[in-house]
Amino acid sequence: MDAREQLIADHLGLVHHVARRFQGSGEFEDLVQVGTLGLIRAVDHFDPAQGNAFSSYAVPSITGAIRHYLRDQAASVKVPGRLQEASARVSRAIDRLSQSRGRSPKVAEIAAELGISTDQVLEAIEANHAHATISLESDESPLELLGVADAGIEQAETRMAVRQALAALPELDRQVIHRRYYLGCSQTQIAEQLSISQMQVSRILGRATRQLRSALLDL
Amino acid sequence: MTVLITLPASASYASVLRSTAAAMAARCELGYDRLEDARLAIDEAFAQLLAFAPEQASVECAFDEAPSDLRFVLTGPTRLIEALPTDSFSWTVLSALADELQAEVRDGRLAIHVRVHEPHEVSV
Repeated sequence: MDAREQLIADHLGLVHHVARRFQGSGEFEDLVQVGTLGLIRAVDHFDPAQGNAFSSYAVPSITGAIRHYLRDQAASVKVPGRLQEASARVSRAIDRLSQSRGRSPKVAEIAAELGISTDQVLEAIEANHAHATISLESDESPLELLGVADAGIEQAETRMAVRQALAALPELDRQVIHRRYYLGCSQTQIAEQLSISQMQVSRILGRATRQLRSALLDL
Repeated sequence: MTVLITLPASASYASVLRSTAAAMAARCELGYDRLEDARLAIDEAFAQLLAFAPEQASVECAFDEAPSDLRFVLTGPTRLIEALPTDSFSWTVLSALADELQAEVRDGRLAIHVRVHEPHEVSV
């Protein structure tokens, strides 16, 4: 474990602490997940030279990520509570089964794990795409990943347009797009790398791909 | 088995294709991440057909189901005279999602062939 991972691991308790304050407004596990993203952002942007304690820097970042997520959720298409719950259960089952089997589970395996029908799993998968997507604020700093993305795009004109469209996306969306389409990582790998659920990866990919497509057609 | 769908060349029908692709991927027993790849790929392929479709066109989609292996072909009339451009973002997306990908323009029709199978060959 490198210093960065260590710092993240050491402060997961802090994420739980903050998430607990928001309990009731959202699924606890989801709050922990987005809170962890806030923590990772804090780790990546923390400058010890400023003389502040890391935790006092991290808390606003964690809180901000959770607030943003809840705001997004509230603005989302309303999926019936029963379906939202099923979708959350399916999401957890996918991540659990991937862990234990070392590969992404089949729909039939997810259904067996939860004691529901394959149609219900498919329904939950569709409901997942109707949810609001977690999107952290786009930060304006140029990301090194855009430089890497260039390698996959030959044409200068397309490259400029794609670069601009990518820059307009929130950082998490950009990361997911880049890893799936330009680095060729699987959705399962991306979920592990970014410490988010596989269903979140799918949701972000679906939304961000459509967003990029419409942005590029307008150019 | 083969499943055939004909639908209007209109973006509002994309959801029909996405849901069908997911259901077919489940029938082929693809893993969840490949199912989602198939769902994305059909959306992107459909968008490519729409981008070059004349007005009032319809699009046909044929799914071929095999164990751990889903293929689909989207076909429809096209304004393209030469080959589908492959320097687009859409093509980059499709190339990353599909294990096999092919587009052909013949007799005023565009066909996009996509194959998604298990195990997923990670390209890096």
